[in-house]
Amino acid sequence: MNEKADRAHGTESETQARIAELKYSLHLMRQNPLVLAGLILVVFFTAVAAVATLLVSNDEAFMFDFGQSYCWSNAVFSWTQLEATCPPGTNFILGTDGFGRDLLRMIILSIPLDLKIAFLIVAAASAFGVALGAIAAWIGGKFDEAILRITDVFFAFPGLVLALVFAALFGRTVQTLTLAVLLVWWPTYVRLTRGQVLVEKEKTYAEALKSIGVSPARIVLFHIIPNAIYPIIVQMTLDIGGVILTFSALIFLGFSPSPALPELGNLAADGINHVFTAPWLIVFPGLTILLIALAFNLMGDGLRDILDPRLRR
Amino acid sequence: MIFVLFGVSAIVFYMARGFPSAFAPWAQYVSEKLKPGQLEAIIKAHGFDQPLYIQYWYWLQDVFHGDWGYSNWANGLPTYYVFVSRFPFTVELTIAATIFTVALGIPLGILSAVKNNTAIDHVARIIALTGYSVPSYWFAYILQLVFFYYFYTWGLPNLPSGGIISQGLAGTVPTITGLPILDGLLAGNLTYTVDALAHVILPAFNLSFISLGYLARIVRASMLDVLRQDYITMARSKGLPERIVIYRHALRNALIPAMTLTGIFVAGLLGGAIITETVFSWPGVGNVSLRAVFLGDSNFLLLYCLVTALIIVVTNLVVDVLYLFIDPRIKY
Amino acid sequence: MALEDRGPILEIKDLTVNFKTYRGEVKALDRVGLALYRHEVLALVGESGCGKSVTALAILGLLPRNAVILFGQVFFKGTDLLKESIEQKREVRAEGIAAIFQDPVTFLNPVLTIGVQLKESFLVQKHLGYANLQTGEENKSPGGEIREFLMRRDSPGTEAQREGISGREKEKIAKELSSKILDLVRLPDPERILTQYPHELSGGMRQRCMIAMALARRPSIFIADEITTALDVTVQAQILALLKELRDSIDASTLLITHDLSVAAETADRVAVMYAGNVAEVATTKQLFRNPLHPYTQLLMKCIPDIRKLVVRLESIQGNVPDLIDPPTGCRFHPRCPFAMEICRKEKPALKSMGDGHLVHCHLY
Repeated sequence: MNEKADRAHGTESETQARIAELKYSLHLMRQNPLVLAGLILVVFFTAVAAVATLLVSNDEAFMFDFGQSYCWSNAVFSWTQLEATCPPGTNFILGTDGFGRDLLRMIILSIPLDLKIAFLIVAAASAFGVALGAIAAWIGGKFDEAILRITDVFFAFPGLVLALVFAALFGRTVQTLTLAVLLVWWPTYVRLTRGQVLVEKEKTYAEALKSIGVSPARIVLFHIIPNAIYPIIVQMTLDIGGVILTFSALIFLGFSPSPALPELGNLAADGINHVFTAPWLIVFPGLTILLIALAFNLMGDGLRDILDPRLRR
Repeated sequence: MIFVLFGVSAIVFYMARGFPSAFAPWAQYVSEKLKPGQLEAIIKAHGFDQPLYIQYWYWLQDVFHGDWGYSNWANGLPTYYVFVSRFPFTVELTIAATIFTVALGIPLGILSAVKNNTAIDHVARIIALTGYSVPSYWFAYILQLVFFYYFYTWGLPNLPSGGIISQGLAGTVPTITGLPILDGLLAGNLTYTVDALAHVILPAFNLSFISLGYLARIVRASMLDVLRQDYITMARSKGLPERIVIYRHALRNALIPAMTLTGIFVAGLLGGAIITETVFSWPGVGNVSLRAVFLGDSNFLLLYCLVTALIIVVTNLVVDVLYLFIDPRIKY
Repeated sequence: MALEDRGPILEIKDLTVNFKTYRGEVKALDRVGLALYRHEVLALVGESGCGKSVTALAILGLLPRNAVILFGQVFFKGTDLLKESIEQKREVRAEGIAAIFQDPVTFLNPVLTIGVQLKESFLVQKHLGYANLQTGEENKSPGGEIREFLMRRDSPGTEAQREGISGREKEKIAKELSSKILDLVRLPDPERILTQYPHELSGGMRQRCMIAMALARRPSIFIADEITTALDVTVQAQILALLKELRDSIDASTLLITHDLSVAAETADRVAVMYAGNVAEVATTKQLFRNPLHPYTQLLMKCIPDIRKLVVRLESIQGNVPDLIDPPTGCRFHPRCPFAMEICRKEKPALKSMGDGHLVHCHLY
């Protein structure tokens, strides 16, 4: 469909065609309840992340509060021992941990960190991966081969191993963990973009532009990539969920930078020792991760259906 | 392919041995029994005092002679033994997880596709999406919580929380294949087999919950694609019952891409599901690799990474070959 | 030969079908009426998009989900197909009306052998009742048995005893019948073809297989939807000849859908011309070609270049096929009609019978 637009004169009809396509996409989106649900959740979480620091102050959430808090308002039933947790449904909506810290507040505070890191990683991986993939596909030849082999090597590492080794070696700061996850994620975009660009490169409009004398950079940047962008966008949406899962998994497995780090995986890790006695400590942080990932996956999956050229008329 | 193996080993080698914060590679050879001169001899023999690329060369030579080094933390056993003794457990887990994934994922995908855009479709898709949105460590604990702890406190028969076999039954059956369920069957010991089965259910389900989401999605997508094809209209026009149209005509076409995915999963699973194995105390390869990472055992890590890389590469090849057999349109 | 004396085996009345799309409702069929009589070939002719295939799909009950049948009736052997349940419609497809489609490449399942696809056409029938192929009359002419099988469609007597055939027996029978029927459609080496996949055969061979699959169900009606369009001219001729031959040996009618007038001229007994979801004219082939009444038909005839005459430029009909989301009012052809009158814009023309079975929808008459 975009080919027709490209053959037309000038970019005006091209943008018109794109707008028409966009309108059709929005129409499909409205019809798809799953995408809408995902969208609402995403907006919800982003909003929470944006105002988190307004809702909860860091001190409030993370300061150890020995014996200062009462689980229930009735002093008779409360206790002030150390290491005693409050279950949910008491003064604290989601309960507290052994140090009296309110779980709900800790979760709210963790959301912005997780989302920020996830967005950062996905943005970086996609920017780098798309650029590399597009260049490799356009230039072709030995360079392309080399890039392909390198991505092969990265794909041969199962799941977390690479990130684990990296994290183990370079220390446990948020930055190194971010880099570790980034290492695992960038090759996907290279492969994806490369595949797309290779297909677009052969299409007639690319040839036409080349023959007019438009510079390769312009062709790739302004024509090919916009046409090939849809699967990449889908992948990015889905990856945000995946990155949060991986990142929190790394922290959970023991690479936590510090016990006071407001991060959902960290919170869950704290709950391991109390799985059976105070299950809410691990249930709720994990549930939050699940919901965030689900939100982005709902959107991404729905988008994939909407943007699939074969399902559109 | 060879390049991939070299690449993987080079990266791990470089990281494991090359950095200042890295652990001393000869730490694996140190024990109290060493006499003073022996340490230097070991260092010289494996080239630990040499620059990295020479060390790599030494290591390659060692490997060609079958010497993967020692893992000190595992009672000083040779590394490859540590790996090989644990690998069958991972294999058992992988087989069980694959069975769950296929048995649950494919019907879910078919259901979603056949009832497209109805409420059933939406529910099925949410289930599938929850599958790959769930943090596997969290889900593992939830499973333990519900099926082990709560079932116990509620008086229901509960599943064990970890391990491959109950304490009392360990070692009561000769180890032939290394997979507890198979060994139990071969020895004709029913209690052992049932116990082993009970132990594998939760970790396998945990693993499969994630992959079945992917599988269901792929099956759904390719079924939707196939159901729109002309030959399905033709099949319907023959007056064939819808059941036959879907299972004989549509599914056979739709499963071709699903097969690739299953192959990739199996390969990834064989690489050791680190998180699941850790939470369920499953003594497989992934579990051990986590300890290796923390203890800086570069020998084990190298072996582990190389084996898993090999599995992944070989699986991809096998899947490509299988394609030739499954899809009659492809000729080589 | 008074066609009207024998009741029609298929009769379509006032069929109106819309499609719901993103851009609006496509009024694909507008009060279409047709009658198909026994043992005849009726050609349904028209440009692409005029609704021929939609009519076929409506008869078969295979319209896509976004189709809405506003009103109309399709009578087959006395019952209105449109009011049947899904299961009943399926049974009609299994043993009553068989379709042959345009492009066997996409219409045959690529991962199943021809044998499997052919056998299921036999097995879908309730009565395979022709069990004794072995003890059959050996001195009959080759292909005689299969013809007998094909003829014995509705005879109840033989069926009753055959009910108790086991599944394995049925498979065997189906297999034997499959290779015999491939013989009947003039395919060489049937045994081998049964084991092959569709992509291993040529276009003409695939089309013959599709015809065999339709034949196997012993239908009362064949619907052939553009079956020669995807083939070379020479193969086209062969397929049409085959169709003629088969028509004579089985008592079935054929609805031949095509956009090629020459195909209609050669094979059909009667021709119905469709335009933009309406039936314009229905007549016997001779009548239509000698005396086309509807302006559209007349223009179509003029477009066919006559090889005997010297032609300077090719004729075409001015204007474009109308947009069916917002079709022209009254008679849908009036924007392009050289004889358009005021009334053509306002009213849809009713059916006029010009005698001898020649029907036309036009205000001129």
